[in-house]
Amino acid sequence: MIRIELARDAVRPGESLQGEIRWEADAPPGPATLSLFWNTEGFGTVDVEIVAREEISLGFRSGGLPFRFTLPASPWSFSGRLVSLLWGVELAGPGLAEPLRRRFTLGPEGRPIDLTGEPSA
Amino acid sequence: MEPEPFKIGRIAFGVLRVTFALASTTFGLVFVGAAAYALYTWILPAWRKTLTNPSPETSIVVLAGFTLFALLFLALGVAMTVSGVRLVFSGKASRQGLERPDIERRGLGTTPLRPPGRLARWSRPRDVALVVQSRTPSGQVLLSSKRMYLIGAILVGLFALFWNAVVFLALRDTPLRSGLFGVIWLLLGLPFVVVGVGLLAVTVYLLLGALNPIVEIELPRESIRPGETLEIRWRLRGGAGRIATLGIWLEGNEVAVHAVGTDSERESRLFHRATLVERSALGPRPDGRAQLQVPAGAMHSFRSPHNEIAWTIDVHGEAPRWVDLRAVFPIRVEAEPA
Repeated sequence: MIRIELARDAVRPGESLQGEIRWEADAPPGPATLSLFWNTEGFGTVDVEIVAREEISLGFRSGGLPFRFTLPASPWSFSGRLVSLLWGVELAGPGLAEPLRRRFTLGPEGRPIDLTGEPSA
Repeated sequence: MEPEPFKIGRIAFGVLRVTFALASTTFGLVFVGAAAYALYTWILPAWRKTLTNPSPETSIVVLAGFTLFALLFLALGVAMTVSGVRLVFSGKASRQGLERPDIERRGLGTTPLRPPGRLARWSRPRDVALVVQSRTPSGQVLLSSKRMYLIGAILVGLFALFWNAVVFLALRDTPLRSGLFGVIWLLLGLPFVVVGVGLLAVTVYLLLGALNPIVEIELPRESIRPGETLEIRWRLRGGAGRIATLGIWLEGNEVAVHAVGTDSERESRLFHRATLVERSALGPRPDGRAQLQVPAGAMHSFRSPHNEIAWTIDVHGEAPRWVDLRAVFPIRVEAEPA
């Protein structure tokens, strides 16, 4: 079992995202890539940007590996009716059955900006 | 409730869409028919004769060249026909998508990146205005609308001439045809006549729009931060007498482009609207000041290949018995709270 733990689920622009990868498996998962990314969701075609990438090695059957990314000033997380933007950390590697993702929020107020309301006149 | 100018724009776009679809399908079918006719009546018998009874008069290379040429036309015709039919159905799919209450959600995918289609860019009236940004001697940022209607009028007018000439040539001998064939010929030609008249109407509409005034907006700087207020100046230059009422708004829109294969569909939705100016009884050289404020906690401007958060200053002037004035000025909202 592998999981990504984050110190906080909501981070402000420019701050650091700290977390730890914890795993316990029958065999060492081996080399993997940890990516910091954002992607869009909604009506439009998905856009993805990998902001930072780190090559790591999970060379034991169990353990914990801390990580830290410095976050950019933008784009902020938001949620609209047509478009939403989500931030995440992804762990992928040949020893993992499927990529593992953990979502978090990047924004000045610690929550996604809500664009779903009706516009005021 | 959709504003009137948007409705007119959508109608104009609908006429253009039907025109392009009909033109593409018509020319495609003509190409397919001509190529199939040539293959059946000339090329296939020539091949049969060459293979069964070779003669030095017939060159295989020339025959192969003609065959390839006919096949090329056939393929081109099929492609044009398919393109025309798809254009019609893509319009229906778009409307169905708008009516769908829940928006499709997809995870991370590998869909190829592609910009919006050329036709899609005409689907919103906001796209007819071109903005030029410059600096005033006092250091202010000056946004000025340009008259794009004239270019549109010339392009649509030329196409309308071509379209109507073809329709005229096809229908001019109808009175000479008697009986049922003449009636069917006329009925078949009627939709093409309607489209031709529609194209001429769009040309006139665009020509009238070309005579509208230029809108100028002055800003203290190029961008604004959420929670900040800027004082802006606005003015109309040339032909402002026709404008009865003027409205200026700050608008925030989420824009999404859904690209599938060679098609793309663009949708936008308003999430913020604030009135900056509402004036009637304008003088010959109307101008004024307004407070531009982006609310605290608002989303900053954002743009990725298929998705966008767009902030704009929208200007709409009502001109009775004339084409309304419209101009849209993009502004940048910084990702930095005030």
